[in-house]
Amino acid sequence: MASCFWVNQLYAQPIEKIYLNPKNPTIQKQSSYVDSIQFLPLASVEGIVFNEYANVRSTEKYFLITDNAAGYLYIYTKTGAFLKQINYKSEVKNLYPSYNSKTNEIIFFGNNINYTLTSKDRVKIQLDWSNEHNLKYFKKYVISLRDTSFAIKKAKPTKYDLISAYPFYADQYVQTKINTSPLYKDSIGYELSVYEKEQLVKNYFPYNRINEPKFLFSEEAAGIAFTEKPHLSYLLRPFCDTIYQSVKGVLTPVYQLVMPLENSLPPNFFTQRPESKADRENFKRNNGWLFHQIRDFYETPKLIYLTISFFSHFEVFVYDKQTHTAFNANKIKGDAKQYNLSLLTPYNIVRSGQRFYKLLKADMIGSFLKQHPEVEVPAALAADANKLSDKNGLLVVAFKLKD
Amino acid sequence: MKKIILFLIILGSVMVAFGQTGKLKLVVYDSTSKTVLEMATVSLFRPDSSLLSYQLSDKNGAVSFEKLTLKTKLLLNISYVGYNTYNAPYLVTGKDSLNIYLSYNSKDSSSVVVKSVIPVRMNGDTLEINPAAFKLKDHQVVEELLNQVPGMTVWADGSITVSGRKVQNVFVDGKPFAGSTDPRIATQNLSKSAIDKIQLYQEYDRENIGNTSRQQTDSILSMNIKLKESAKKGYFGKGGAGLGTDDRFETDLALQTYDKKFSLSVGGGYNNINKEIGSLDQMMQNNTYRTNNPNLFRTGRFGVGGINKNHSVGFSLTQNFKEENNSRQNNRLSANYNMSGGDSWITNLRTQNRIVAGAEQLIKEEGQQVSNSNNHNIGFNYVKNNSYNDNFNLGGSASISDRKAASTNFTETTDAKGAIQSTNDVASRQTSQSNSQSLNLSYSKSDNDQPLTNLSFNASLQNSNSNSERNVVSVFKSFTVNNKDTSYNRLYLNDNSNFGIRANLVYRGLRRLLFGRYNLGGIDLRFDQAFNTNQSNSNAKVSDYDSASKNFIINNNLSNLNNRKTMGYIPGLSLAKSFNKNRLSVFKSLNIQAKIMEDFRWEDNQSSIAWRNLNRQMQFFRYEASINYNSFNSQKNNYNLSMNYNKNFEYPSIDALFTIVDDINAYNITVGNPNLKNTVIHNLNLNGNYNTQNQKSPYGINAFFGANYNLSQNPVTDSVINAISGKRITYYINADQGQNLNLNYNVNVSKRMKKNTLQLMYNGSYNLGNQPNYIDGTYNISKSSRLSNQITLQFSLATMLVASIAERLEFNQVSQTVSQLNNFTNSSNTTNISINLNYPKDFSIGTTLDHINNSSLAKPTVLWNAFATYRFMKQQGELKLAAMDILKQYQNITNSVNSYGTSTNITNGLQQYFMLTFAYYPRKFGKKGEGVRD
Repeated sequence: MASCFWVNQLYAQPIEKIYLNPKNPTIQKQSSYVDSIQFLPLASVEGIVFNEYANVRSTEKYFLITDNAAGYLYIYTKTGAFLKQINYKSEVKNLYPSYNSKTNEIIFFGNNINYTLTSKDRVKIQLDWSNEHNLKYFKKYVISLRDTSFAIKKAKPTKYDLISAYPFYADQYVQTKINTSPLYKDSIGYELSVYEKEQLVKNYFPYNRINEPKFLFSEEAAGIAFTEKPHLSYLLRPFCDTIYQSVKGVLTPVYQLVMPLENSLPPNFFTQRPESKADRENFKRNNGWLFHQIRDFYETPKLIYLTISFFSHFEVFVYDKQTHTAFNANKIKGDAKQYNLSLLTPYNIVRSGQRFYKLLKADMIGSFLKQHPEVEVPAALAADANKLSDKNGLLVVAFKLKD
Repeated sequence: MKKIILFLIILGSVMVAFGQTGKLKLVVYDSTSKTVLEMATVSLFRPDSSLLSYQLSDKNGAVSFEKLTLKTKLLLNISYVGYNTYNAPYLVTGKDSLNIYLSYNSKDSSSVVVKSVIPVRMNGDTLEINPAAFKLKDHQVVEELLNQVPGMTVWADGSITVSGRKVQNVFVDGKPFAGSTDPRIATQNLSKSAIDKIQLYQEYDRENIGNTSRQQTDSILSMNIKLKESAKKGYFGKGGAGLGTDDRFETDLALQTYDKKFSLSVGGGYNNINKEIGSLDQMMQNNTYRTNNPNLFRTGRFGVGGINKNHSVGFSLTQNFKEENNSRQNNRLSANYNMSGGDSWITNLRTQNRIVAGAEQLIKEEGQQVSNSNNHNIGFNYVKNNSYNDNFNLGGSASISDRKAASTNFTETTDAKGAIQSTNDVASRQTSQSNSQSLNLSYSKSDNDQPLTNLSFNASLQNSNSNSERNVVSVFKSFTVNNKDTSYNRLYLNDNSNFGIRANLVYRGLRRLLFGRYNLGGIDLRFDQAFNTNQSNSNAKVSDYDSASKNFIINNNLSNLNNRKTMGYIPGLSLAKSFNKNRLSVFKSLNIQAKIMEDFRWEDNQSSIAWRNLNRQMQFFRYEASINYNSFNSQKNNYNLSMNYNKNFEYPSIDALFTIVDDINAYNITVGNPNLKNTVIHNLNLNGNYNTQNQKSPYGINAFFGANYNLSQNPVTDSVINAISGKRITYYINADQGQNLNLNYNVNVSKRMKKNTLQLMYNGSYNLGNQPNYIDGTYNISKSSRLSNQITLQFSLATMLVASIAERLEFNQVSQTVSQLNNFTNSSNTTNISINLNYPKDFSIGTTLDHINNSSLAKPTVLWNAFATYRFMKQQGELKLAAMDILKQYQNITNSVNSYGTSTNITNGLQQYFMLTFAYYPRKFGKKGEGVRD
């Protein structure tokens, strides 16, 4: 991972190593790592059914629940009252909703379903992003959460949309998509480009965008893990074990992940070009346990939360800063104090600042309480005990990592 | 019948024994944290250490076992990686509840790598079966292991289903095992102890490369048997010889050796018990290691006509150039050679009820034929692909064969009163040689990033030559008309050669080419082009014996030189659109496709007989459409419905238009018709498939229904004139329309009862044909139908007993629209009972009984066979005694039907014999051989 250390050497300061073994078998009690659990029962509405695999996101005033398989968006108040069911698939077709906290909008942006774009087409459009003609290849719709009609409105894609840039710090936007193509005349590309007022202001982490071996025949993106503090975020690069802290847009490497050899990318991955797209794909499929990228990072004074993608799957880890030990979250078991609920799952969990949100079936707590009558019903659920035996009843559960 | 009742009583008693049961509820905890442990493996073992059942604990650490036999002493085993394993005896007393606390294994430094004994687990999208978790004897093979896996059924024919869905590919380390695509070569030979794990996953079908609708509907359920590292090199096989009464004998050899990249199979055999050994694959199938083969395939075959002395020897080798253990990437060359042949002696007695105007005609044929044939085949195949989106395949084959045959056939036709109308006595001798060569190439490629290059191409070249010399002596006598007797002694010398090329190009980049980035509302466009050309030359020298000069004199009416060239080009445009709905575990799709084609044909026929010279060009506009609906629910079931229609054309061949009339067979004189028109064919096809998908259900069900309807306009049919002399002359004519309906259906249900399996298999077919014709000048429609149904019930008591009962019914009928023409029927039903018992240790006894009723036989015929097998020399030696046709009353009899009547054919075949066979199974998997332990 020579390219990762380039910035380390630049800053020349020691960074803490996080040793992490995905196969660590140690079982831990979840209550040692998770607290401030809150439950919010969602109002049942006749004719509306979704399950715990939908994801839930907290916005300024509402909970947004996305059931993308069915193409529905549900809006609930923060007290669990049902407000609106939106059938977005019929209107926006193939687009997926994302929440923009800066504008408090739900944004649907993506390909116009009437066009099929190859990766070459995308590069051509990216190189000609100021050409208005290219707008026809994309569609954008917006639901403003400030407008209680929650109507889906068509919007004109911005230049930031076309280059996949999203809000970063203050008025800055960041572009993190990484790809390679012989169409690029200039071989220098950057994993991270910062824009302000649609003008490029900073670039980080150069790579050869014509033939960088690790990015050939693959589309990657650096990740930004935001925190509850607007000026603080973390940069997570593909095929890179280093975690960079961004304070007011200034990057500093803070942690380095060390994994067993069987999970580490071999040195020739960074130097040898795959011959074809199929070769790249076969390498990934034949080496499913190799490290790909850190996807999410959050730290409290005591703990670090990490989501890591390997070539074939995702895993969640919790690192104890005091004991310098990392645990695989699937070995962190919900205990009786937390109603046997295992909350740190790799999927269907959304972190927003310091809080994690997840949907749960209400009867999971109900069946636990039946088996353990000595345990008190959580206060938020006591008022509506019937909900706990409703097989279709759902709860939003919010929790934090221990400080 | 008494035996059937006894069998059913035994079967019922065994099932009732499962009646009284208890239940165990259990929660697994971490002893320190008191947290519940999810995914702990809780296993119940019988006192003999064989696995009874296992479960993985749920989110609350809970498992629940039901239907446990009361008062049974079991061993409870709970394991969890990193914890001390819990082992304790457990007595089933009723409804039991237990809380088990596992302690962390802090002392054992190796705890991190505690060996998993989880029997079945999901790894990503792959279901993995761990053989170590199943108690089997060392010599037992993969098929017996699969029989113990919940949800998995190994059917009587060796096919495998998982929760009702058929496994279509079986690989070993990602590749076809020993170069064979037959799963039984792997599953009935590989020792359980050589297996690391068995993986089940979905693959894409390379036949559909580039289809935009390539979704779940396209997926193929595949099984990969992953060998232990120590067992990636080995050999196995069988060598055997047997001698029997009535001069019966058999010898078999099958040997396979393999390593990570290379495999070699050698096989051979020689027998006179009608055992089919024509190809290396057949030899490998006949000689697998599995002991309790319920269908007793390895024995002599009584249903085959004649007494055949077969010999065969061959080899195949496979070299993998890429050492990847997956089936996506292949770079493999295989080659094979096979020499086979035999001596055959067949006698037959055929009786036919035949329609003639105003009367019934009974035809009786008696004949016998002796023949000797030798065939040599050599072939190769090279396959290279690097993903599911590309495929390159190059194959070739060559064959040489020669055949000598002599036959006599005496035919007698009588009227309804039994009076002889005519006889025909034919004797023929023939020698023939032929050779053929073929080369096939196919290439497919699809890349979403390069849509203009998406195409599939295949081409084949075929060349063949043959020559034959046939001498026919035919004497026809008419008992109804004087001076119509004929007598021939005719010699046919034929030289034929044929060379053909076929090519097909499917271009899938048309939409991108025409519309650029615009995707035409998701409609996929495809440009198909098919091309074929063929040249055939024939030289027929026919001469008749002149008794005066005692020489054969050339017959200028029949002798001819013919050179025929054809060419076809079919450009076509197809449009396809898919609608998909995906929700959690449910996927539904609807595909609609339509295609139009212009079919151009050229033909040039040059003949030494001037009136056969013909040059013609034709052009047909053809079209077809299909609708396919698929519903896939990963928790419940999968079903597929499809309907397709196509319109096609056929044009009459040169031999139908300008037939060279040869009257050597007085009952089959065919006269052509230069005014024949083209035939238009409308074809409608309906298909439905259903299978269950519920892995928790003890039942697995799969069913199929298929219907095919053909409507022909202007079909070429016959106008048959039954001359008063008894001769029969057929003139080709066009009728207004003909119809055919074929129905096929089957239902298979399996039920797992712990380690025992009950399988119910039903299949049937119904064929109905309305064939217009003229019989002695009267327009008539012959309606022929054939109904066939078979139902089989098979019970397997673990691997100890396999018993089955089957009933097969066949009914044939032909009726005529003209009232004075006769209708005929015939029928048969066969009851089959088969029992195979593997008890005591090393012994196996089996028996099969076929009770056959045929409407053409006065009393039923019974075929009773029995077998006893003893294995020794560490299960590698086998002594087998076979008693075949113990009652000595078997007859080979078959019924058939066509537009002109029903037929019953009785041929000679095997008769009672007893045979003692010794076989040795050399087996070694890895350096330690079969002693490799898990």
